Amino acid sequence: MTIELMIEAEASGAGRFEHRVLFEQSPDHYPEYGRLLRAELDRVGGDLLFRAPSGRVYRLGRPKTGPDGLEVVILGDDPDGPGLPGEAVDRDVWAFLEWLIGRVGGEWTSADLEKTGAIYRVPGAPVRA
Amino acid sequence: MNPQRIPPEIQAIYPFESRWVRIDGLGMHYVEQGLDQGRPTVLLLHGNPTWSFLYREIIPRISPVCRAVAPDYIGMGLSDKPAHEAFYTLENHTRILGDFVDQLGLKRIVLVVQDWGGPIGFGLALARPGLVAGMLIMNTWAWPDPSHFHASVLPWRMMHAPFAGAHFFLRRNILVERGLYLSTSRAREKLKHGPVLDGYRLPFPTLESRIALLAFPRNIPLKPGDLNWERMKRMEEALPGLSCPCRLLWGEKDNVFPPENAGRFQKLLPACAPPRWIPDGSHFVQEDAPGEIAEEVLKLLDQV
Repeated sequence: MTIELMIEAEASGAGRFEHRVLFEQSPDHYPEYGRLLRAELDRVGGDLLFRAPSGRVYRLGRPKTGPDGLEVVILGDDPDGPGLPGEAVDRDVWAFLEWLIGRVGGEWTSADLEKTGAIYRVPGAPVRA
Repeated sequence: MNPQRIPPEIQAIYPFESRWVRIDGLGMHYVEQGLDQGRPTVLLLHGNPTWSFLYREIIPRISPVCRAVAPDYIGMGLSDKPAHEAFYTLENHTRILGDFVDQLGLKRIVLVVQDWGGPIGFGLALARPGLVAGMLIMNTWAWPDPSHFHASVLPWRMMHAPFAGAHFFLRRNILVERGLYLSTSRAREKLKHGPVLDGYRLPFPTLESRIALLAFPRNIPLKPGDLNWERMKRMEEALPGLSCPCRLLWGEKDNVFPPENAGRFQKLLPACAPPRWIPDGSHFVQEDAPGEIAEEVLKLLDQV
């Protein structure tokens, strides 16, 4: 799977409504993840915007409501939903996970992510013949 | 409280009246059946990602001779579900179970434990000397060093890694959708689709309802210094002090808690009978062998 995760400088045209797709209350459960995520957010000086394989823009950052942690939200024009089929969101989420795990590195590999996805038939995981 | 309506097809296989107690301002759901008849109450403790539904085929088999009580931990089953992951610690689950026992006025119990029911139930037993009259121990653990499965990145640690867990557990509920199927043997087909799988899905319809499911794996210690390492170490050290009769029943096909765990319990517990092996049973042995479990509970009740 080609990861088309492009970091965006600004969310122009991405839409003003946010719909949460991932919420992580314990980014430091494995400290290497927390360190990486903080470094990425520090690098851009705030929230990280990225364009996923669907072409839609997502925001990674601190949640605006609820418990502390980090969230990934999809930006859109529709106040009622992301305006994207669930399968497409799953593929975008998967691309984000591959991006994240590829950067964390060490014992965390995209190959193991993919195998885990296959074992548990996780939506969004690439299906190999 | 969460007076969730149980659909008729699930009620048909879980035909119990829902009851609640209030602990820390939260509604804790449980079911019970039978009268004590002078015997200890049988307290049936589930693990992750299950709830009292797990014991639906065991309760009717034992309740003619005893009072059987099956709670849902806070965050699980039909109990209330706080939004903060940090709430769901082994310490909190154990303390709340103690409050639950007090509210029901239980003075003497037989513990039936599997998966997280083990550490939670053992914590209760060790904190309340004299409360536990006997234990049936199934496919669980009580020590800090992790099983091979729990220590491995593929698939366990990957599943609940930061953000991966948010997708796997919270968005896609894979422990219910696929984990139950993968960790049963005899009963596997029932966990593919139909009312049994729907029964396990029932309490966890949304991302927000699944936070406890993700918190459980993050409570498993892997190395000294981790959350619960010291607690589990003290638990292992203290278990030999429990002199009540114990029985072991073990699904042999469990790759999470392999049969060696049963041997370790036998060495730790002075009054432990040899394990009853379920060769075609797996991790969720209550699904694979409810009849055998009921037989062991009844034998234990005759011992205590």
